Amino acid sequence: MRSAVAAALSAEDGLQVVAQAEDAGSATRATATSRPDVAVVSLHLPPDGGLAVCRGLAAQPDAPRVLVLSREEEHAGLVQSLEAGASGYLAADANLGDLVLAVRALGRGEAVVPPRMLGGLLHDLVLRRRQQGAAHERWGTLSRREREVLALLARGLDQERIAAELVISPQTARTHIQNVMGKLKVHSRVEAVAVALEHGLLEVS
Amino acid sequence: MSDALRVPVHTDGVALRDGPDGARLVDGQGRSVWALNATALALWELCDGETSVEEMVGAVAALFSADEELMRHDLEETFDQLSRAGLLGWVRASPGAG
Repeated sequence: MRSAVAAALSAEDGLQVVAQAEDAGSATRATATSRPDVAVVSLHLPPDGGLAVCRGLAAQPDAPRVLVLSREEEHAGLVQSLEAGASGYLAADANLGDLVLAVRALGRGEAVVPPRMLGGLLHDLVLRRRQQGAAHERWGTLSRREREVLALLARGLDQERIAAELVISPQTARTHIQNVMGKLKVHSRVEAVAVALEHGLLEVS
Repeated sequence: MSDALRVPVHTDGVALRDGPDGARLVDGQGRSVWALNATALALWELCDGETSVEEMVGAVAALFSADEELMRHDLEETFDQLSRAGLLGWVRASPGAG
């Protein structure tokens, strides 16, 4: 498939294929060397899939716009691709004409999503932003001390070590932990940390 | 009802039909009254009586890196047109809605 894609793109006015790669490692190296405007990445790139390549490309200076090709249109794959930094997503059974249009669109700075998938994606984005907003609201109710306790939980400290770190009694540490769980509306310390990390409320070095 | 408190919702009896030229809205009498492109169709699906225009603007702008102000203006204008055509209504937002 890679050869067919490269041939189709090479035949187009204004498009030049500057590199090809058959696995994740060579894809990352080739992109760093050739600095393309658009990278077409298979979601199923060996050895471990294309999402890691997408994330790596997004982190490069002057990052290319990434178009992900998937074996089939699949919502989870679309969402994961966009979260990994891709700007476009196409099923591999899309015709080569659609592929060329997608590459040109990405080159213009546009996003490409299969029309059939757009409704589900927007619905998902709305829900995620609502959850993010709710999480931020709950974070805002935590006291400074409670945030400190949560940060220490995220570092893996238990109640005793949190108490020692903050020079408070274990009972007070326990109370803070319970308050954190109550305010974040979670049922465990692990869930509290997970919510905070998922919504970018905490950074763990 | 102030703009901040209202959310769009499909009018009862309005249906969505797929055709050779794409999706169309059909009114209660079966008349085809509005053609929807892919983005408009996706936004129509969000008019569920719970999702605010502001939430839609945020999602579309995030996806397409679009200007939020322009997007908001276009969306409100389109929804007002759909409302005047009897295809869309406005309901009060529930406390949890954006």
